[in-house]
Amino acid sequence: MSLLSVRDLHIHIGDNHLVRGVDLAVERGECLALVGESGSGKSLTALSLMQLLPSHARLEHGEWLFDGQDMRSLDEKAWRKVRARRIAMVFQNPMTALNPTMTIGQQIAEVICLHTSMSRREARQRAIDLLERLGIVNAPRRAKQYPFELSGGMLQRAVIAMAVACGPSMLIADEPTTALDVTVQAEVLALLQELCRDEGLGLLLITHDLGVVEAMAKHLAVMYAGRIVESGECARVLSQPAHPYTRALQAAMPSLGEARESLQGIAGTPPDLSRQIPGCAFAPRCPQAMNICVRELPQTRLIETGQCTECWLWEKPE
Amino acid sequence: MLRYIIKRLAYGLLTIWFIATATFFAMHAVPGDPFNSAKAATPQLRENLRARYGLDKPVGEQYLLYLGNMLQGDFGISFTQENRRVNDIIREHFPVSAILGVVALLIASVGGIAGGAVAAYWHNRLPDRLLMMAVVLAISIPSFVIAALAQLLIVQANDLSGRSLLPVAGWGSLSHLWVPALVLGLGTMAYLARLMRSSMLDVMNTDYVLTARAKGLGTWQIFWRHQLRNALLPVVTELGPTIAAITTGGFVVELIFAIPGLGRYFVQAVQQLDYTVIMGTTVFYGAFLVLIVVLVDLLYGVIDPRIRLHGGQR
Repeated sequence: MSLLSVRDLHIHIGDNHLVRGVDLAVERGECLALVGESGSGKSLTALSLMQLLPSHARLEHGEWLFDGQDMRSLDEKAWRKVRARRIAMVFQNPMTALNPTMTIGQQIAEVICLHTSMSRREARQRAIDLLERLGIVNAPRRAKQYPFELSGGMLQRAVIAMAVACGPSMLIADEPTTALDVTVQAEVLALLQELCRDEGLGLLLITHDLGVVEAMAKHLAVMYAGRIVESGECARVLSQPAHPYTRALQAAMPSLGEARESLQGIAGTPPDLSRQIPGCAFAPRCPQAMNICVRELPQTRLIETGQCTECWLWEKPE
Repeated sequence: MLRYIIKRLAYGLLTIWFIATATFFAMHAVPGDPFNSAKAATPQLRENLRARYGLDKPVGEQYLLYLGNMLQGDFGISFTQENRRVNDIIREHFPVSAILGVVALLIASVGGIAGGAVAAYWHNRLPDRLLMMAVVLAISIPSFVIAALAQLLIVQANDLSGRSLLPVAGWGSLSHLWVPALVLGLGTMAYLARLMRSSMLDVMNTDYVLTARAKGLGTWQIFWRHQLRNALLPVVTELGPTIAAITTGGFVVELIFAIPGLGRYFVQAVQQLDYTVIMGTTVFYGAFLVLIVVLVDLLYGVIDPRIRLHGGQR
């Protein structure tokens, strides 16, 4: 059984239907990457998995199981015991994700004190140990410093330390390297991978960087306009993308060695999600669109072992 | 850090000197002198009085003489109240103003910060709307109007209940203190509430508050540990000018509620051109405010580590 399994997730904010039926499954000790362009609903999906959406957002689930437990029935009080203790989150920008008026050590110790019976002093020591384990040199001194005194890479390590402090079984990382230097990116990713492997953590990695996906993830889900358009084993999906959007996304990746005049984009703009979309949301931008694409939503189809897509091109003609 | 404090205090002394000088010459530029016709009936009497108080000397000499005495901490003798030293007037009446001011400031900051936080939490909903309406009223109605209305209310309440719930004016017990302090602090409270609301709204949308929620903290824990301190930063910056507003606003409120504070003497002295009392109270208030502003700056460093540490490394 999967660590996390979500079926038919919908998120509405105001009149906008931003996430329109998403299925996700995260396995223990494995990384699932969720990719898509800005505004595709990746971050909303991530926040919803910890019930952190703003209160005016409306959520609907077909199924929501975490570690065998039905999460739909949890109230806010119960959720506070889940956050950080069972599911933890690493945010995009470590420079803003930490409180500027508290020391790093205090902020890590805070979460430990909250979820364990450790005393303040023990929690402080544990915070220092964690920082050390995550590769911060001179951890005792660093723990006494404020966020503005540390570099971005160190801060992201501190954020990760905070996330894993209470031994969660799942980690959600929302673009954990986007705000960092390229050299630091690799270190942070390696760290996440190590945690995933050593602690058997299930990792949901949200990113728009296919290079990161290739290095990190076992499974991949491609999101467009609030739906997963293609999903499957990372290696397979990236080598033989089935959905035109996945292909377009891959083509838009700048690659080294290839002298290109300009970056290749995807023509058109994402759809307006305040209106109902009867067919495939990508159809207006799709080079292979057919009449039926605009009218009706295709079934999710298993193309090959470990690869599913939602596209009329793969429907067998009747 | 110590060097910073010394530097600030030195600038403060310069400010006080400037205040003293400007007040001195402005005061002497006002036509007339303290000895009006009622006090000095004959020209001879007038000359004698002027000579006794040193007003026959050239203004420049008077100025130097005054500065010299002031440096020794002597503000001189009142022109209108016989044989009363200005130092004594300040010593006797400033504590009254200070108590009123401190209580007003406490009411204003606690009320303002709480009100602002409440308004931010219920942003654009009924509590927010009501509070912001009250804020606009409190900022735009002058304190003497509010003071008079408050007195009217007290009288009505006393009449209705048939006994004396609260005194209308006067000084001497705790019950005399609350209403004037509230009236005095009201404008400031409103101003701080508006400031707190907007800074709280900013803080509520920050990433670190989301982080705090992701840690599993409850609303109150997030408020006390993560939001309050950060939201207070812009509010603390305004505390200096706020204290100035409360102390100067005190003059009017003291007059209306017949409170024997320093403000009343200040207003009286200006009306009667009582040179030494004007100078003494002005310089005293000036020094007081300079000190407060320095203290507020230091407080800012206590709250915000970024300022503290940068200052320390310099």
